[in-house]
Amino acid sequence: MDLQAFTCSQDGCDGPRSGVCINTLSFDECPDVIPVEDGDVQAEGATAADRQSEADIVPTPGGRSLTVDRCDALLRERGGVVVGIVAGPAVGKTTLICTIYELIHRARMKEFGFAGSETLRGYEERSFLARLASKKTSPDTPRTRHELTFTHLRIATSHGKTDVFFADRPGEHFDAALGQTNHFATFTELTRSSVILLMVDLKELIQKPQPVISGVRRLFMAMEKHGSLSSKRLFLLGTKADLLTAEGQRDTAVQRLEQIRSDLETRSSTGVKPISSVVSSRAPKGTNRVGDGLEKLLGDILHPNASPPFTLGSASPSAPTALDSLMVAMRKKQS
Amino acid sequence: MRRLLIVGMPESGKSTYIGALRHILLAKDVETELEITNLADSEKHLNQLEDHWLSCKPMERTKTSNEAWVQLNVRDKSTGVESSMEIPDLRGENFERPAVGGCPRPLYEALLASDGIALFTNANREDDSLLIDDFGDMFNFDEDEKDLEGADESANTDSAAKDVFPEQEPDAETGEPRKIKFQPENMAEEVKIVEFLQLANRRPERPRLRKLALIVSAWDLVADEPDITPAKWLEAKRPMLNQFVANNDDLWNLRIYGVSAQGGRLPERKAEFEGMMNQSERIQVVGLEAGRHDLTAPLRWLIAGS
Repeated sequence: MDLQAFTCSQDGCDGPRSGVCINTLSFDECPDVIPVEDGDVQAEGATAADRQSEADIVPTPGGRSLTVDRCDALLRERGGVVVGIVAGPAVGKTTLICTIYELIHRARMKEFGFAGSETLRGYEERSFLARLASKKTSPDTPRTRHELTFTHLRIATSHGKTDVFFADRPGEHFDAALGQTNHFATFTELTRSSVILLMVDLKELIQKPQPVISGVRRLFMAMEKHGSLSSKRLFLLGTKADLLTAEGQRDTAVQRLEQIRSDLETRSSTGVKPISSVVSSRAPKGTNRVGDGLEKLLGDILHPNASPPFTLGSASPSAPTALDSLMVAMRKKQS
Repeated sequence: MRRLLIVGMPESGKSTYIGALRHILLAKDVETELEITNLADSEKHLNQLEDHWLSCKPMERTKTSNEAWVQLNVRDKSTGVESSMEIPDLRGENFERPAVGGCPRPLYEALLASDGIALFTNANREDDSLLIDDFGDMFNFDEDEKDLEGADESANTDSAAKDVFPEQEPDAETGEPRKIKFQPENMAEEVKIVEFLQLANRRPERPRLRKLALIVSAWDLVADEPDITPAKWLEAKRPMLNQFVANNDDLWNLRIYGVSAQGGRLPERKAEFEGMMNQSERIQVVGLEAGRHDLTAPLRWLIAGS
């Protein structure tokens, strides 16, 4: 090997030209060793090598989760369905996203096929702790940190290919926004979405029903107040059904979920009609049935022509008079 | 000149294929669709690969120092059309880069310019992204609820679980179990392949239809399974890749081949192969319009007009 014909792509390592590999590998084996163009053989120092290495690499997205800007760019290019996901911490937002990815790319959904993804690495990072490769003995999902990101799937359906973008925002943001509801107006994924999943932890709903119901109600009211629900389909999604193992627990949870759905519909001032659905992303104990209910949910999300038609609506003064309130009630009755 | 690209992750059988291909083209001792017309100016790398294949040793991993672009000048026997194929024999790590971020420029330009791609995946590599939940009906993972006394069945399954998940060595400094971190380099093979293929048609490039010869290497390891075909193998073992290509048939015109360029396990069968008068006959090929030993069949299809 002509050592002068090769250099190293790592900062601070001259590799073959200095005779020292920072990875303590032979230069034949080191993956960072790259050839130097003839004209650059004489160039001195790491800076020249770095410039060379940068010029030799074409930047690629690398499959990371999408920022809001990149999500917008892809939406402009391809169109698609944005799914906003709303819930406090540890309700199963990320697990839901990952399990849909796992089922689709493993061809375990009969109605849907994998046609690509711009966020493969984003998914793989999220799914890692549910894999044998992580050497964990029970599946887990990393906590969502930092800011809002999106994952992307291109899904083949019986009516063509659709791009779906799942919003992933830390649950703490929603908890904090309940104390300052105008924050919901800044949650850009809710503005962009055509479908919103309002998630309810069914195990918590069995153990502590009142706090859970109260939390869901507040989230709903805050979103409605800031226009996040207008012209959108809202799914009231019960999660963690796999943990309802005791006799009758599941039936009770489903019944309570239905009560919440009915309550939200009744109290909606803009005519929102939530759709209730129950899923279990993880396999119930002692089984390998992963993702019960997810195929049906995805079918409902991607159902063609499912979005309600746009209506202009009517203005409501911020400080309504008695007459304004009467008009709101009358319009609601007419609709 | 048809521009072909040979693609595959590390140890997927690219170099073995090129070495064996070179041999059957020169030796002309088995039926092939293509024949060689003349040697290229630079034959050093091909000579090395062929020599290594003839020595019946497992092919060494391609390193930075022995990467090369090889040229093969061939003629299609049935049509008489002559072609010159430029094929890179690169380290598999190059093809992993796009999944992590960044692609070596020569490879990126070759990908965009390619008319057809021979994509290798090794049948000896199982699905490396198994879900823990998939074993939920086999193992009792819940330590809290484990009944240690008088539960023979659960004892057996727990033992099996320990085999799969050996206890991790604690961290020397903290004494806590060492955490396994996500490393993009360790993502499943098919994830990295799909990311690489997506590069070819991603904006600002204009999407176009390309031929894709998907070659399942080390086919001898699975060939004896009942009713197995390369297409069935792909569907079962590389479902993401299989779906990606099938659901993008406007971009990828696919044919699938099963190929064993070595013909069997090495070094177990080294002596047997070395003693053969015609080593080309140890090659096995399965696929549409492919002769039993004809490694040129995938290339012939790739260079044929659409």
